[in-house]
Amino acid sequence: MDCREIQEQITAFVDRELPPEESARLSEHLHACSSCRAAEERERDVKRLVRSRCADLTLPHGFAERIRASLPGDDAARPVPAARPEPRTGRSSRIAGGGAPRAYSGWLAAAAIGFLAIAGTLVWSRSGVEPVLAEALVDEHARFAKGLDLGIRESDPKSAAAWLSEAAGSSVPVPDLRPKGARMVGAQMCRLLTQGHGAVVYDVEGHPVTLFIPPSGMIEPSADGTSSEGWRSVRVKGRNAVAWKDARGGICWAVSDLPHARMREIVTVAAADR
Amino acid sequence: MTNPSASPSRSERFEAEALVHLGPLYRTALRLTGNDADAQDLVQEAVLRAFRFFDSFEPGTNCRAWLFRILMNTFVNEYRKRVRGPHQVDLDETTMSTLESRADQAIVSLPATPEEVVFAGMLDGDLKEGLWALPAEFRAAVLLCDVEEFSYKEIAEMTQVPVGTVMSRIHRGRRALREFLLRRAKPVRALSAGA
Ligand SMILES: [Zn+2]
Repeated sequence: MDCREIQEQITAFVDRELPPEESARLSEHLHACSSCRAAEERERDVKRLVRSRCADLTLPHGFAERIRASLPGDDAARPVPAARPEPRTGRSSRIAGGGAPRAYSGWLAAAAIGFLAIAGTLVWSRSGVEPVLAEALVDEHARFAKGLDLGIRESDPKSAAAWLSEAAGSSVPVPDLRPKGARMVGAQMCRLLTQGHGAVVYDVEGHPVTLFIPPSGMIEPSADGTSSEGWRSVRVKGRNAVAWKDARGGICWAVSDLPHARMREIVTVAAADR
Repeated sequence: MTNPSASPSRSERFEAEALVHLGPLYRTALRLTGNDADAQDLVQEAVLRAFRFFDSFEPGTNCRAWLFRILMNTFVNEYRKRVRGPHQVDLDETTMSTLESRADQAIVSLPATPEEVVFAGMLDGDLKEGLWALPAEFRAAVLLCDVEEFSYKEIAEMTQVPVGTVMSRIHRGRRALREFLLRRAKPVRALSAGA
């Protein structure tokens, strides 16, 4: 394979669209050839930039409610305050209602009222929200598991906790899972949920396990108490995810390809005081 | 199954399976249309259609991909026919080549600085403008791949073009975006070089 041929395939390579054998052949060449490697980096840089800067999930204020209200069918069964059904021409009122900051720049700031609120409260009480969150976490986990996007490589929980806490602006407890046979690989701030979730990647007998831990400053005291809820287990995109509330009342997640029971056993340290 | 008395469970199913994807649908719509009002219109129309055709959605298959197919379809067939704002100009492949070759000329004069460093200082506004400068088809392909993480095959189905076309749009879209950002980053480079 010559360089020209290689570079034609770099886009598909970066997007993991090549069959395994081709992909292996390409990475072999990339190891040896700096000009093709530069082409790969160029492509990857843009991909990474777009992905990180366009990942906001903030909806305009009241938009979801308006959508629900516009759907035909029963209103009684939905726990949504009766919004006035809006004709499709009602754009001006939408603009007035949604005169919120642009989603581009506002998502970090708006996370506290937007997706964060969903993560903090709804996820625990409404099963309908859980899949999308779990799916997002599984995606993050899949990247970490490939060794991509880790902020630090670190095997010491204390150092990782310090790093994450500084990045998050409040304390992120990182459990030491060594007694459970889990070696820490590294950590990253998980931007997909909020500005705050700490993601910690462990290796358990060759299986990557990612823990998602909310910083203390992000945990809202919930009126309904934290003690009555137990473990949640879901299976998404071929991975297993478990969620629980830690001693602070923060909702933590763990994702891996290990069975739910095994994961719970490993992370019971993290769930201490439950 | 279409008995009206069965509609509560249908609504709840729709809520759980479809409406959880409002966030991704809206962010994509926002970057396709370029403004909040049109994005809301587009998503609302797509969701209404999805609701109407929800019975044809096969449970257990990828609902997000199904919704995006409807979104893209609505965008191409309804929205772009109806709305032709000052910025909604179609760029054909020739225009695209011109844009790229102009970028090629510009890049020759740039000093070699690690692009990561340049991109790290990129403002969201620059990226937004850069994306907006792309033809809608290229922009859509890049966003569906890089942000929504659909496979080429899924994007091909959504946008009704061959897989090879998807790949070429992604490649050229990223390339043009990169050139745009590098040109935009020039003053920053000068500053950091002087410091
Ligand atoms: Zn080469």
